[in-house]
Amino acid sequence: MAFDFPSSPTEGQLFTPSGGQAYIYRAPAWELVPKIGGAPFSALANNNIILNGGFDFSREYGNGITNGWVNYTYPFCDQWSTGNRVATPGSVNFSHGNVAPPAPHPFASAFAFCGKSQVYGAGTSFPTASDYFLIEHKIEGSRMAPLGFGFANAIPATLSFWVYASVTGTFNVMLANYPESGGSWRTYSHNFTVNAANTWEFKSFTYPPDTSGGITNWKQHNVLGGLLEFCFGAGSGQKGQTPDAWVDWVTNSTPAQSNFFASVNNAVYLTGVSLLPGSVGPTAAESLQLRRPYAEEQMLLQRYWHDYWYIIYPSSQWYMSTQLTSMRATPTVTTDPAAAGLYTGSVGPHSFGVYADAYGAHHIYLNARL
Amino acid sequence: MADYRLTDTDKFVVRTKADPHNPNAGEAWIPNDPLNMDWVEYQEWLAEGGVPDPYVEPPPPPPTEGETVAYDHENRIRTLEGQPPMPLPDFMKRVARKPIKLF
Repeated sequence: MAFDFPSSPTEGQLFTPSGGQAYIYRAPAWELVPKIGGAPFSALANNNIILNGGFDFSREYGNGITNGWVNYTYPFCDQWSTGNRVATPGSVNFSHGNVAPPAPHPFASAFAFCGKSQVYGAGTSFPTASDYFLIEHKIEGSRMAPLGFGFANAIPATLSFWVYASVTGTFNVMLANYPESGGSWRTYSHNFTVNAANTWEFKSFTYPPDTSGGITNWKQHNVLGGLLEFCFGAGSGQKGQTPDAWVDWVTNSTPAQSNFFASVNNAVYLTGVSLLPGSVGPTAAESLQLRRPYAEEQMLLQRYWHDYWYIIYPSSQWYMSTQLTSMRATPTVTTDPAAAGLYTGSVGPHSFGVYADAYGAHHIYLNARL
Repeated sequence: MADYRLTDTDKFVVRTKADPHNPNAGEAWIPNDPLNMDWVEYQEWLAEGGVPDPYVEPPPPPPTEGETVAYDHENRIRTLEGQPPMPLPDFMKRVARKPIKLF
């Protein structure tokens, strides 16, 4: 039986011959669409290694960070942080916000939020060679484990996301490890191009597996196991990374890196980020289905950061609670406002207790981030 | 003031430096857990020569309503017995409340 595939197919076009299995066009060839036990494509959402890929949650810093472009790492959205080193900080706000531009955007209401980085003051030309500007996603080793990186039977990982930028240019997305002492840095950088300014564009790329180094290079337990880093600007000394190859970590970007933050109001938005085990990722249309239920996503995020309100009344009371989601590690305990007379908290990954003399309502934060 | 302060136990250290993006946040109690990134950062700070502030005994907590009632009751008995009233600090030492260490 011969198939009469459509001529001049478009990227992502589906074709199901009579009595046959579905094919999808990914230039330059048609690929068989894998059957996934009859499950809808949305079932793959549980395989998404990325947490909060839709930037729905920004629980600690609310709508974001004003002028967060400093030499700190800040989680401006859950699991997403700044990762910058700049000698002369510019004026950039990092925020969690509604997907506003352009209207209507191509993904309807599937992604209501995005991660925004926008210059509100002077832009920068990255005058210092060692400067760089990253949006960083830290991945726990247990979430990287399905890829099997470090071993001969490792499988590829397919990254997909939506990006919107006020200027065109080339940016780099690096997938990297975080090795044990004695291990080696392993990074794979791929350049993406923003083809049109002020337009949401869908991007996808399959990272080949890294098949050596074992768990010394690719940790698989409850520690930092992987990094996904979006670079939107870098100084001249930060552009030495070889693209499209597994190499040592030399710099944070490649020679093709553009500067997306040269002028006031320049902005870059990201949403719908997924990293799936295997070489098949969603098409732009399918990406809308690749979402875990909101409540499930929230539970997963509570492994890294959680907050409670507790009331001390009358004074001198213990407040104790058991976490619904076990945290990644014993968390740091912070109260807001500062609780006068807060005594040693008794804290573990599964429960915590604090003792305070001050009567009143307190907001407590538990932080077990990577 | 250093960025950190010791506690009465080696299970915790207190980070006292403010978070510029969350000015309302109080001191952070960082557990002695090598998987906790704040603890890792504290270890790096120590390695770079940082010296934490020493542990400071917190001031005694004010008496609760129940303790005040008990204190007044104690002194009424002492008056009946012809003894001088007991100073409040002495009474509070006798009924000293100490946080329970659960773990």
